[in-house]
Amino acid sequence: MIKRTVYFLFSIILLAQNTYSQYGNGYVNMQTDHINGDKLTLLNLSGKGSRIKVKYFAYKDGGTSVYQRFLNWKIGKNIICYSSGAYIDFCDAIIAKPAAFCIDNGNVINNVLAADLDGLIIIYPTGNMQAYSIKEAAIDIVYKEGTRKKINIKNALEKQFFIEWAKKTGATVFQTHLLCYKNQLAVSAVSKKTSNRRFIVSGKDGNGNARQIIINSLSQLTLFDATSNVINYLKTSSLLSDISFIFNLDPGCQDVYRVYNSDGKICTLSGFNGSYQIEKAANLIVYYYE
Amino acid sequence: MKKYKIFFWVFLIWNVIFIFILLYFVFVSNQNDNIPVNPILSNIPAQDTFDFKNYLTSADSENVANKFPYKAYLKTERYKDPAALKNDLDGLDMIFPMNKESGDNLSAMFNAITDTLFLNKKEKLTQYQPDDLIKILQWGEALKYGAVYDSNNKLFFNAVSDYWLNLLSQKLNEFSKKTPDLKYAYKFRYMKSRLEEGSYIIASVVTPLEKIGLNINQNKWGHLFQASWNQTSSIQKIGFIIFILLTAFCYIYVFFSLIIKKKMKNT
Repeated sequence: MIKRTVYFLFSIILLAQNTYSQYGNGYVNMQTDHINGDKLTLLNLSGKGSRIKVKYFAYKDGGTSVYQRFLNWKIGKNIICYSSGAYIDFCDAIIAKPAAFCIDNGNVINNVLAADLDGLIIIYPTGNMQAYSIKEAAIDIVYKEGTRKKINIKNALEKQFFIEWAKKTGATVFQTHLLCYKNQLAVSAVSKKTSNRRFIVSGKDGNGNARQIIINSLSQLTLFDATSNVINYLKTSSLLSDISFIFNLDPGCQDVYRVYNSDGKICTLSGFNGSYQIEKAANLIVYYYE
Repeated sequence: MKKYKIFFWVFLIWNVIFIFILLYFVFVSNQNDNIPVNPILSNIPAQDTFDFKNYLTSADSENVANKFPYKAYLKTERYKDPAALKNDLDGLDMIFPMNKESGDNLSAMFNAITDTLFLNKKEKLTQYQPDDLIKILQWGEALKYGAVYDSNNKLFFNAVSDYWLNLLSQKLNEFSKKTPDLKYAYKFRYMKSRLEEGSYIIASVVTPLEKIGLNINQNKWGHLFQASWNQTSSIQKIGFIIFILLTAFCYIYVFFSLIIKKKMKNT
């Protein structure tokens, strides 16, 4: 009888955990800090066990808006956060299209390889993400049968191979500013335009564990100054010992950002929310726990 | 009577001038809106093959990229016709059948009609010349059809088409950054919409004034104020605050003066 009661109570606890818990403890950490007068908010995501995955909605699908696509997809998913993604061609979500090269689940949305954006981000159907510098001319693609190929996407012939590969695998691809690549600063100080910034950082911590961090830089800074601050911060705080890449998201005319606590409630901490509702998103990057 | 006569002649001259002005604008707008004829309709005999044998020997097989007669081939303008291009690719494969497998023939031809041809056109492409750009657009589109008809060389045709349509999109983007008003020009809009049909998207360049209009239209008042505030210098901010305070002071002064006046009248 006692055994049965204990088993029953244990089952209820487990069930409650599954019903209310969005994600496990220790996978997500939120913190706020300052560097050189700039306030940073950090959403630190652990790569432990590959439980945290990424999904990108690059564009509306026929008549279905990005917001509606997200609603249809998110059923049964444990959402950690979502944010507006890459640059758009026009500041109105209803008619906006991706401003640079973009493939959504294998469908080519924009064929134009923008000359001034070095970052090519690939999101695989498995929920993994990888960034490449198109300057390096070595995008690593793996076909379903296991064969590998190095692609120079700036070469129009090889670009065709890449597009065919993305169609076959259902990959999602977008182009944006690559700010740091393989521990090297990759952005110049040419642009004087100031704004608040949102970056996605990927790398390894001191113990060699993979991490991705979404960083909001809340001051009005140039892309160069904000990136330099973030790199300095990551190095001095020992959050990451190795930075694989940092790329830029668009908090300009579609500043959508929302973070959920581990209990599924919306995080109300300052700096962890965008100024627009999700309906205003022309594209969306979503982190979820599986 | 004399006064009426003067009025009559002045009005008549004005009407004639007006008609001429109107005719001038009709003439100019008609001229600007003419889309050039598709160059594919040129008189290149597609069934012929470029005579590569005059320039290449079987000994050049391993070095076809360097020995390819770029200048002579581009001079014929045969590349403008996808059917002629297909014949020339086949002709090259007949001379160097071993290179067909390795893709060296295809590579040489690709270099000829992309990077080498671009070097020839580079100077022309530094300025916005819509008629020349439309010809590139039409050629790029025609090459896509080449990919449909010649399935063996689908990759080649798609790649050449992509090279030029991508370049054209980048150029149009550059030109519209320099001259934002270009987006209202008929030929620019024509190219933009044709390119968008093929998923080549050109970002609209919006001037600061247009941005204000868009934000007002979309009721983004908060964003408008925040963006304006963030982009102004400290001096401009101080000036703005002084202006607001001064205006507020004037209103308060007028308001209280009226009240005091009214009270004095009553007493």
